[in-house]
Amino acid sequence: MSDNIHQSLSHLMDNEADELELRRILKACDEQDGEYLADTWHRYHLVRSVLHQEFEQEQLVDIADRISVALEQEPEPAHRKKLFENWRQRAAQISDTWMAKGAIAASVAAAVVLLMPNPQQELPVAQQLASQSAGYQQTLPSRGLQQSPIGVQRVSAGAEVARAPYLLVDNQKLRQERLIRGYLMQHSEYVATNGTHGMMPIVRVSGYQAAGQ
Amino acid sequence: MIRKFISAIGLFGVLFISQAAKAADSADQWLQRFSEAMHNYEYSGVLVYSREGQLDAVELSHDVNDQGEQARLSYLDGLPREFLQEGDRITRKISGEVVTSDLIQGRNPSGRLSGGLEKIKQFYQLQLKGQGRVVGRPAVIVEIVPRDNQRLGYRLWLDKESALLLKSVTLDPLARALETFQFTSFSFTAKNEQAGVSSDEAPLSVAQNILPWLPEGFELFMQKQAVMVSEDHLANMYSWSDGVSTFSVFVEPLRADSLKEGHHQYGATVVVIRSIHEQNQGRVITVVGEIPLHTAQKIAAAF
Repeated sequence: MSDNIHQSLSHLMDNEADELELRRILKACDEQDGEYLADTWHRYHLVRSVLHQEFEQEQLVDIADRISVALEQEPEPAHRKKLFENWRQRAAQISDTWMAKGAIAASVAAAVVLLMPNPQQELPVAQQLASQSAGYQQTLPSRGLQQSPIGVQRVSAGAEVARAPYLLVDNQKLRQERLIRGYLMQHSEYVATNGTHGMMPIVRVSGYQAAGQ
Repeated sequence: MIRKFISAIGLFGVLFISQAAKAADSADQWLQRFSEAMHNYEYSGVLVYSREGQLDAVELSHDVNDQGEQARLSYLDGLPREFLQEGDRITRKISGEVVTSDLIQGRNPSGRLSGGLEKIKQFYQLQLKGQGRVVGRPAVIVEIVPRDNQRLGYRLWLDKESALLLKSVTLDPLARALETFQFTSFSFTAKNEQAGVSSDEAPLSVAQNILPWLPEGFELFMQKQAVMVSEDHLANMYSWSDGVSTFSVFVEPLRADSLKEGHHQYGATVVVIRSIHEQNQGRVITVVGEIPLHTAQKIAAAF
């Protein structure tokens, strides 16, 4: 992508582009290597949305805790363990020779290569998680200009139209908050009749209710 | 004369000793008294609840009769909302109109500490933290300190006279305050009647394996099918308690308008939502409770 186009895109994102620059960008997107430009444009919007917290989904799914639990539950593959044992024995045998340093370095390198997991066989967990999170990736704006005309609209049609998608997001957010309140309410009613604090815990939810309504 | 003098000294001595014995009450005894008092006294007052960025004031009254505990909690600000407890039933009212009425099952005896004190001490340390003054009344400060990082701690100000709760601060595992309940006006009357709850319900053992991972010490005390979460949302609800802290897990089929994955924290209460995609139909797991966020996340992650 030429520097000129890049600069125009930058102007466009800052709402400073003139009609000519806009046309140039749209044209460049249609050209042969326009795919790259469209992708960049899409990414800029994505970054801006995240920075402005315009996403309905505040945190993109964090699967770290899930992976750690899955790893905890997964038994260590036996053959990998055996391999490690072999390597340790041999390392112990040669470690008293003058070549110890070199040999250990070599075997560490070998071990790293051997222990590198083979993604096709070794990581059912990772695969499973990846396929699970595919659902959330779909909620991100779709790639490419053709599917996502929002960017164009925002520039050319002014503020009124631009606000529409965010209104939609707000409504969804409100609906979700109302639903969360339902769960909190059920939980707090249980705590109020079974806990140590009497009815006090109910206040937790109702405060939330006031904020939502 | 001398006899009188001796008996006076004797009386004085007895008084003195009993006074000393009272002062030396342990944290255990205070908690025991507290958990009984909360269900057996008639009390009322204005309660203030605060957590980051929020303050609410409610009027709270509690009474006991032969139908069980009767309590009323009504909002002093904003929309006139009201909660009524009649035995095991909780009714919600907005502007005087009944919105919902839920029958809450699963009396949790260890939730009231009675009989469960030994078990609670396995997971919490009970400490006396001196004396204080709340709502113009002398109070004893008792702290419930978790022994691991899977539960929250509580600092309680108990009325010296009645052992009723005047103020409570919920603490995270690093002892930072998450929320505060405090009476700003308070009165009580002793009752002879005991709350009509004596059924010592044992923890449910049937569905213990619903959770692939469970923080130590928590036992399942309630399960309820098809709980109405909203007008058109049903979920199966399960509640666990370690005698002090409680969390609930809701399980339901995945829908287009289900909650999005993520977590939320409101004061001491966390909400962790996870959707599981299975071949035919997905499920949504929602963990709600007064437990540390990482614990709730681990519970949800283990599904």
